[in-house]
Amino acid sequence: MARGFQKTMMTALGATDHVMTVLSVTDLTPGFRRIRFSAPTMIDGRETPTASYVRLWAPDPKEPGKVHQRGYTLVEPDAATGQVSFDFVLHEPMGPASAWAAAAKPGDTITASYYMFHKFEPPEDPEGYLLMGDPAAIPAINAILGVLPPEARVVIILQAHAPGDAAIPVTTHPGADVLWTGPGTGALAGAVPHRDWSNWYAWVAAEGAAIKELRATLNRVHGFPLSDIKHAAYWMRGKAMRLRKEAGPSAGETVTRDQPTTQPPFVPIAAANAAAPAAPRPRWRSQRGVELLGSLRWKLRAAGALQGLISLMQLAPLVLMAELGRRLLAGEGRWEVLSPLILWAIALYGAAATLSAGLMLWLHAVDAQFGHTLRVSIVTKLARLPLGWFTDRNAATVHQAVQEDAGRLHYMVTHAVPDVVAGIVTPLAVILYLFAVDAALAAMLFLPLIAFVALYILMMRGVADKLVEFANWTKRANAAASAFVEALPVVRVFGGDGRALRAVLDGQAAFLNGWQRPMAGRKVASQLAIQPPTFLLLITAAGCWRVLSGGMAPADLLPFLFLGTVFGAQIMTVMYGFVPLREAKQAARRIGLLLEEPELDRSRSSRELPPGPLGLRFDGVSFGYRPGKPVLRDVDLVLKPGTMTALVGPSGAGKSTLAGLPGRFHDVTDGAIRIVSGETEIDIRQLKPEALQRAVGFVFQDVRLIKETLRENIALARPGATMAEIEAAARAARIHERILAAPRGYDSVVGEDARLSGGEAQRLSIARALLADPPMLVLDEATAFADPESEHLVQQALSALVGRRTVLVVAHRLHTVTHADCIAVMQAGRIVQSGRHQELLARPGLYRDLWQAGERKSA
Amino acid sequence: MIVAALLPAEARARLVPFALLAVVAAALRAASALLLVPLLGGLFSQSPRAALPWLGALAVSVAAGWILERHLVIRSFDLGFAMMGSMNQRLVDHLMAVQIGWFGAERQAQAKRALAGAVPELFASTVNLATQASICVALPPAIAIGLLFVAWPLGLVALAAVPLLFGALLLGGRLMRRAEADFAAASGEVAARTEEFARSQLMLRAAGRTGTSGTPLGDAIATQRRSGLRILWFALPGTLAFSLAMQATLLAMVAVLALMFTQGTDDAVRTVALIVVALRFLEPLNTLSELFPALESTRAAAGRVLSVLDVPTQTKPERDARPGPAAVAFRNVCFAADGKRVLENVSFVVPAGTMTAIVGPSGSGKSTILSLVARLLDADAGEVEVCRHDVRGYRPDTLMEQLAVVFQNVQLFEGGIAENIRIARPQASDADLQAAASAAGVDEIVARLGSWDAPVGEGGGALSGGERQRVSIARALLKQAPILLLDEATSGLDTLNEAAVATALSRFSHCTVLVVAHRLETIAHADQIVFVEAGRVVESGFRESLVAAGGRFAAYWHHRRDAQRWQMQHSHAGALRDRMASPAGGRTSVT
Repeated sequence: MARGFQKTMMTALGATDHVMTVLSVTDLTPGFRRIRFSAPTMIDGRETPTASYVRLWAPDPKEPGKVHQRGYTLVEPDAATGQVSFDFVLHEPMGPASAWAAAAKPGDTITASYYMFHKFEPPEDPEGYLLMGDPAAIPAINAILGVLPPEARVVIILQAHAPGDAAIPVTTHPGADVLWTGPGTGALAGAVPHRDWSNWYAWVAAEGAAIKELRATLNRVHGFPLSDIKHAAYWMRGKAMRLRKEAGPSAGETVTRDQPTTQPPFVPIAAANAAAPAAPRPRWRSQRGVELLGSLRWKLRAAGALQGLISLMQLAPLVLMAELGRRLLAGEGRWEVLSPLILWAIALYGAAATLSAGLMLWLHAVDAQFGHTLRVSIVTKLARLPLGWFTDRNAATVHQAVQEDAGRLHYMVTHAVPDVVAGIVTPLAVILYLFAVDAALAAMLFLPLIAFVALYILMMRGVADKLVEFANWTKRANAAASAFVEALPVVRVFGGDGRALRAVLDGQAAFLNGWQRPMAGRKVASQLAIQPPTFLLLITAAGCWRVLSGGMAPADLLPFLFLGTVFGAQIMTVMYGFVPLREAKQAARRIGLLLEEPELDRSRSSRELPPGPLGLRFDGVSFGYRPGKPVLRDVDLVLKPGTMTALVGPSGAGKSTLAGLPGRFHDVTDGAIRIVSGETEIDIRQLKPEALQRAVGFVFQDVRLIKETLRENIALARPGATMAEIEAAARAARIHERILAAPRGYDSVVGEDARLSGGEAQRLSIARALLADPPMLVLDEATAFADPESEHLVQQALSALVGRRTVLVVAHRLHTVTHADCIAVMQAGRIVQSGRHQELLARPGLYRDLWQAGERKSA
Repeated sequence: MIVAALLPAEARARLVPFALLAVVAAALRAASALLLVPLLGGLFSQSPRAALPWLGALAVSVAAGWILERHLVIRSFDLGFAMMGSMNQRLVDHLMAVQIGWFGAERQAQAKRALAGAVPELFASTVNLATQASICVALPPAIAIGLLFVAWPLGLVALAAVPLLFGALLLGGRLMRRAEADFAAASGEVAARTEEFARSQLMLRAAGRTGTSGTPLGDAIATQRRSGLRILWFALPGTLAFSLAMQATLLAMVAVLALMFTQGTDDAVRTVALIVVALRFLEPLNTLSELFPALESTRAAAGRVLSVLDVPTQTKPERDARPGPAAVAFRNVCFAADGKRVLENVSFVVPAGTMTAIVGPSGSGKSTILSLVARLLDADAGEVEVCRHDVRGYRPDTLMEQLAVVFQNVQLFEGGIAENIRIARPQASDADLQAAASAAGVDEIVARLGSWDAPVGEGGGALSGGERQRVSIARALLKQAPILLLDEATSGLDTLNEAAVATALSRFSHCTVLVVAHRLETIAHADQIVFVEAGRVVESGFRESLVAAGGRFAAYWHHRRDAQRWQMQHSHAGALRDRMASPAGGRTSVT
């Protein structure tokens, strides 16, 4: 599109021009040119998200003075030097940007604007990434490939417009399959292999019409929800490049060409498609949020409809009053004429108020039900997730879901929908009514609105840049405030004066001043344009003119005076009203994702514990948190009943991961863990979850106490335990005396009147384990030395707990486990040595090295 | 008003003219509304041209209003910037002077929110809301007063309605706020319980308590559901109060007009015009009710700032004390935090050039002793002396010049490692800095991160706890003050850290050292042991004599020695299990 309107609009919407100077020109392939620019005003240290692009203003090769905009991905931006590269596809016939690039030489200049970052933001952990595009999209695809984790599954489908295109370098990625297809609008859409794409994320960028077709195909044929397709049309065929005909083979045809050695193997698409079996209907986790809101849909629609009715009923009395005025002026001042109007007005007012209260009651009831269902499903879900899911990061996920997102949904259900409906229905009804009364005068009411919009656009000039800058300042201020508050003791000790924080806060203030103050005039003008006095003046002035010129009966002015000023005030309400709706949608999506987390597989978990002494057998166990990244490899280990096994080895060897597996923190990816009792062996996945939890107890370093009494905390695993049993456990865990010293003894509440130190909390959790009395125990030896001052008490408690159980202990200090029946030495996810202390010490190997290093340290 | 408290003194004076101008602006708007009476009178008369002079007057008053309101907004920018600048400075100054002991995690968050969030929000509200809100407050009374001159019975009704309307607005807002707060509290409880539920899964599953019936979480969810409905008992009258007051007012005004019309006081045209004025009278109240949530959140933001500014600060002496020999002394020092006694009558002396180790169980108040020396906290009773003077007799800088401090939970500044060490002595040479850094084992960290200027992340997040303490030890080494205060880390003590602590102690061997000690090596090297338990000094003296005396320290010492040699093994006494009642139902155990 020509500069003209589009450029003006973009400038108005906040784009600022940056001049870039060509530094060097490199042809990566004959048709793919990289140009390095010096662009100090554009690459100024601001955030440039992955695959973000700018608009280049390419001069029209034929008409001087005319420019065309093209999106180009930032390649290797370097804030230190203010340099950036762009990759150009040089094809015949050339578009304006290509034509410019083909002739570019160092010293040439071109302008570019930031406009709407094209941020690469996939949903968390998609099943894989489908990246599609034509040569123009390759720089962006390369940028994305550069940030994808190496274990990600990636399918790249590229469209070649010319035979040499396949030689364009694509960033190598270990998990990526690259397919090439030929030119033609439908080629990309036709090239998508038929398979189960469930939970994949698609990123597509190409020619406009091709994108349109591709999105439709991905959505309808392959099941992709539109929210999981990120798309960008980089150019328009026939429009932007002004191509009248398409070069090359027709749509869907695969281009055959010599395969450059640097390219991944060429996969014929037709074959891939033919080979794919008919897949079941794919599912996307991200859609769960939509389903979540689905249950509310008809209720919210009904609420919206009712609110629309209420808004009309609230307006009606004003209409009636205008009518009343009209009759008064007409001399019909008799009570019989006026009273019905007044009574109707009162009745409508009352009815609207009653309905409004009723709507509010109903929506709160709906919300209470919805919120309750939501919370119960979250809790039910949490109880079904594998224990390994509960990491710090996922604690934040739960927090977000139950604290923030639930609140947003509450607001949406109870307030947002009626607010938005009222904000739209009221002015719309008013303007329709006023048009019916007098179209010319009603049309005049748009003048202030037009003035408002014009002033608003004027005000938003450069705002896109400024908003990014403002976000940066906010981020810096937050960071500086955090650092200042947290480092306050240090600041005080080293005589600091908070200079860094002051500088940031002053900078933020100066930025706001420099940004906002020049805008103040326009801002106030835009607001004044839609204030009631402005409408009043407009209505009276135009009204006088219409009446004096005989175009309107004086009485027709009344509806305008009664209703006309309601008109402007609602604009802002509607503008802001949509924000909570959007936020609620995102909140629902996040909660939906949580509800779709894969659960622990319980389909086979039906067996009870076998009788007799219990042991464990790890049989060829492999495990990884992500496919292709094993943390444990082929571990064989036997825990005989009543023995103690110690896991030792350098940090990161996989000791803790292995120790968690018997409790099904995660399920093994290969092999099996079996409970052994005499001749019976049962895969732990076949045990009822409760049976497994009863069989294996865990005492780890990080202790979880709940906000209940100390007694309840100990009795948690056996709510029916007698006080005598609880006390016996507390005594054995060396915590009884401490509990008696708390204000209310065993009835003191954790976090209220019982504040326990690290070692005390450890002992309490040991008492809990003692009372639960599992036949098998997994321990972290670090538990013992978390609190040096009460280390010996924790040690005594642990000794009591170990008793004669089957124990697996993760050991950090070798000398504490020299008595173990078996020491398994782990390195990089494998058991490299195992045996008793003396045996291991007798032969060279990792254990002896670790032991000697420990001896040196303590010497 | 709350705004006044937030403004610097010099800007406070500008509030009065701002308010006066807002009243004038409201008067102009009132005039525009009242001018409708003669204007419509003219327009509906036999000669409609009679309306034109009044239209001219209306245009003049609206235009004057524009000019004035524009001027007000510009003034509000001045006020906003003055407020923002002064607020930032005052908050930072204030936080620099408060007792560090005031800072729990919650208050830290409060201070951060005030600094980074509340001030810009207050600025935005001042700029965006101040003008509109003050005009809308002044407009209804202005129209009511104007009406007294145009149609006095109507004016009287309007004047009487003003307090009713504002009262209903405030009451509705308050009830609504109350309801929202109740609901938020119930939701917060459910959320906290859900998070606890998630954290405690391992335990709860072992207990088979993962359902929602009869569990604390289930109760909280049920409570929340009830309070979700209870919110209505406040919210409903809240919204109804205001809309009823509005409708009652309109009804009363229309009734008066009807009465005046039927009695012939007013003609039809005047009556209709006055209805329009009555609507104009109610309009600003609607606007205010729409602005209410924004005004509420401004109020909350101002409250956050003021709550930080209300925290008491430490006193500064008139004259600075002159430091004597580097000794530290506690004389009957008492200290309490949140109403809980932390230290009680603590007395001991660290003679210049000696090392004292503070030893005792966790939670006994050991670290508080160091904080009192560094005056991060002030004693409630008794005296803390540094270099022969009460710490409160020094200007902060003078006191800090005497002290090199290594805390347990070390916070770093965002910036490079070298920068973080140099803060101890900004004028130090690079060679001194490197020497201090390598003595503390920081060069290992530099090697890992690749550069002396490698960023340490927010609060030092790129470094482990042990590494942060090593940076902090390097700071102390570089500072070389006469007195070292050292709080040994209890956890994450790795070999390198232990070596760094040992280096620090040996470098300061000729200085005065007060150390909260956990390592037996440190305790063994001390000239004096101060054994603290439950906030009291129970024993003090030389290690050998304390061990010989067989008291609390002796027991501690033996326990610690034994703990180091402890080995995990199966107990063959195995008594406990047999003593305890056999577990319930279908369970087998190893015996």
